[in-house]
Amino acid sequence: MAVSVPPAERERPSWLDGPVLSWLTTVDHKRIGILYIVSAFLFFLAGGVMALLMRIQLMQANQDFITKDAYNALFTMHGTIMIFLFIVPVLAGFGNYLVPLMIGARDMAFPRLNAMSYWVYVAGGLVLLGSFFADGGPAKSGWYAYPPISWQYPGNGQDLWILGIHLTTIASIAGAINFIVTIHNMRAPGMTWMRIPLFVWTIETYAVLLILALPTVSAALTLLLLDRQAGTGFFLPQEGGSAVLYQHMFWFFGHPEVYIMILPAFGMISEVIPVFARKPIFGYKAIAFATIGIAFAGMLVWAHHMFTVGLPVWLNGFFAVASFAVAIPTGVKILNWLATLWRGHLEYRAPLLFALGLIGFFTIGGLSGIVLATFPVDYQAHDSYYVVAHMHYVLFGGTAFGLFAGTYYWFPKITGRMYDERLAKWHFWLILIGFNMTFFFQHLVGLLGMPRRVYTYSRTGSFELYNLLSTIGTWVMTIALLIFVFNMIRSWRNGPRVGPDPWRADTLEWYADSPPAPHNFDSLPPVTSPRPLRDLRFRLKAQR
Amino acid sequence: MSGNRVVLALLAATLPVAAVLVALSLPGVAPHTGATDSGQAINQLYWVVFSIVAIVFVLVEATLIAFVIRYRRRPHADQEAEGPQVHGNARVEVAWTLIPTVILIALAIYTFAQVPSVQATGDAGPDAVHVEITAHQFYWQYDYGEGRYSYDTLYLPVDRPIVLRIVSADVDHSWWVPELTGKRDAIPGRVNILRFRTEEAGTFTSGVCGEFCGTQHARMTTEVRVLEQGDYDAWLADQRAAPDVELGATQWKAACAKCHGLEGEGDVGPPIAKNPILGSPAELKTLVYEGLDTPGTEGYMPPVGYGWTDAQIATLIAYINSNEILAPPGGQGGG
Repeated sequence: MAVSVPPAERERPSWLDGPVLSWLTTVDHKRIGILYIVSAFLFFLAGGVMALLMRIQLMQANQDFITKDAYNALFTMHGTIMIFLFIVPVLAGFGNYLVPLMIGARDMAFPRLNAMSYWVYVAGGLVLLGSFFADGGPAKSGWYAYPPISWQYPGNGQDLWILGIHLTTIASIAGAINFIVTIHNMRAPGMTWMRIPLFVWTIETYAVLLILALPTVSAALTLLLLDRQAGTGFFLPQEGGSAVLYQHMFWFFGHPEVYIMILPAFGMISEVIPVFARKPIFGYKAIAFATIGIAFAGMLVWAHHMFTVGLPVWLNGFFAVASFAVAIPTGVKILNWLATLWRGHLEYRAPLLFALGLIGFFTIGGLSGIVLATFPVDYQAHDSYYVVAHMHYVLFGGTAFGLFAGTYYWFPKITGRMYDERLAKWHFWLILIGFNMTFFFQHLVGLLGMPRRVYTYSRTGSFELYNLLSTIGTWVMTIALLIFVFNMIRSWRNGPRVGPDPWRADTLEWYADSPPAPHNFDSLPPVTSPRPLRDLRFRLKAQR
Repeated sequence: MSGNRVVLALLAATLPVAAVLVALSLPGVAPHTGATDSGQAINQLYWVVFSIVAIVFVLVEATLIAFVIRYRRRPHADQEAEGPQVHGNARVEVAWTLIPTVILIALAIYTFAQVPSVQATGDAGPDAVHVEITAHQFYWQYDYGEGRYSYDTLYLPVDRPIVLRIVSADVDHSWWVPELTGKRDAIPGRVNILRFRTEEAGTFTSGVCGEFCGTQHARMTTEVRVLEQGDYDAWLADQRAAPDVELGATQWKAACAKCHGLEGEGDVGPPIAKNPILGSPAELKTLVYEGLDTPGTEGYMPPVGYGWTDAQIATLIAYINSNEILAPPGGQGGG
């Protein structure tokens, strides 16, 4: 193809080409992707420091390391930051970087809208972080902000929190529309729906879920803001409103949000495993349809967050069965990944190690999800540390392990350099130990009776010991993450240079240079299967 | 299976089986056995689910580990070599979709069958003991009827059906005593019922608030004393002699001391010892009914005693007046 530098780019004034301004004004999906990934990771570090402070406070019974209100602010902001400022945007970052390359497109469908999404997200992040300086401190009513407690807190932290979430929501919806239009309209010739990489399938599903789920939380938070500032009483029983209504609205968004956060990580390891097993993915269609199946069933399970609200038993029963139903397509995925490993030639580079970690640990989170979906059992486990353990096995054991797999896998593509394998393996083993140490014992302390969101506790014995082990686990994870950061920075500067396709991979992004040119591709190989690059290698071999 | 494969399978299963066995030996592997019929039913259901997921856990992890060992690329192997190019297998896919479906349907049926034992419905019978629980920031008020109250300690007779009527005076809370049974939320504008039969006498101290409710959520604990019928009757009869300094002390400890300190010395709230309001029933009533909201400061106080009767306020003041550290100068001697 004869696509060279397009005229628009040539006419840019030269002062926009400097090292800083060129990034601030970029509309290139790859640069926006990198901006997303790096910003999200910085927010991840901020949220991680908050977790460390909370764990120090909980290390022993009756501690006074931080104040009560500070603790309540920390768990609120830790959850908010990890969900709205880290996981969802970092996935948008990988999606931005990879989707056009994977489908053989030049950019996203709406590059300027794409840049707007990113900057609105940054604005939302700054509002949320800035709320630490608000009158009365940041929000203190949890990432789910149930009224009346979120209505009751004085000060402006909660209002800024609502503004921050609104901004990230606008960013995510605009980004989701962009993904959908791009995937539907800009696929290379031959790239049919059954040939797009599985990661693209998961980004498509991620985007559809965002559009379905986010408007509900926007509505709920707008009504909450009106209750706080305009004296309405939508969620206040004393004014004729309903506190439970908010819970329904929040979780109608909040549960699909979980699948928004996990499915693209599944997509990442669905790319990684075949390449490092030297096999095609087992059951491409099954995995693609399982993705859609999880998304569909995932829209119908929201009230399993509300089993103890006192809903009618038959309604609890419905949501329990719907939650069981999610386990079926999820199990299909896990078994398909295992079948892809079967008789493969497994090469234990960091991307595969983290992908295997996802299979091993997400499985634990999925199975504890079955325990929680059994609603009478949930009466004991709900809002206890058992749930904290469950969701961290899903979001850390699942999403974060998938993200690490993806980061190491695409690092050579994004930077043109290879990371340090030895350090990456240290990272893997230390995070494996630290993660399990932190969260495994939380299952036990939860069933012993430790509720979530408590700044302290007075029980001792094994109750206190589990908390201590959990705290020590966070320190091991900290060391692992420092190794990761060091590896990333050093390798980005000095790692050995690599060619377009260091992994002998399957998908189109590996046909572009590493890092890709601004216009991505000079030409594209024909796409006749989900693995155009392998096809190309075979054709070239046959010609030799 | 050849001998090698058996060895591999056993080897791979070692780690996940060991993990399950270690978990089984640790405290907290299951919810409390439960000192009530409902708690016992939950515990029983838990073990059924646990067994199913433990088996799935061992199968998945052992398969993963076996494949990791068996299919590693050997050193010096051909770098270009590929595994068999298998794209899927419809029969296998159908099988591993249907088998979990069947297991989950069975689990759902068993769960529904257990529901009546966990949550009794219908007429509780003339034998039932009714207590109304009002959740406040940050304490539990137990109302036994006929003007009898207790705070943060619930008294129940053993071997009786219990009907707890759970309401909230302010924000969302959740009444949870893990040793008895599962939790039930206290939500403003709603009445929730929690029913069970007490099966074991004793003092259960693990009660907490299960739903985040504000600054002192962590201190919103409760204790349940399940007494023999005779002891319970005696306790109940004793409560008729209000206002009572001892009861007022528990009220102070529950409703006031968590924020203002046991001796009114101040904590998250300001010091209030000897504050004149403590000696004036009318002013105290206004304060605990309306709370305080000083905009722009941390001076917010929830309406801690919203709904208190005059007798309850008199009880609290009786305690305050009996305590020379707390009693305001004018009020002393009145108790």
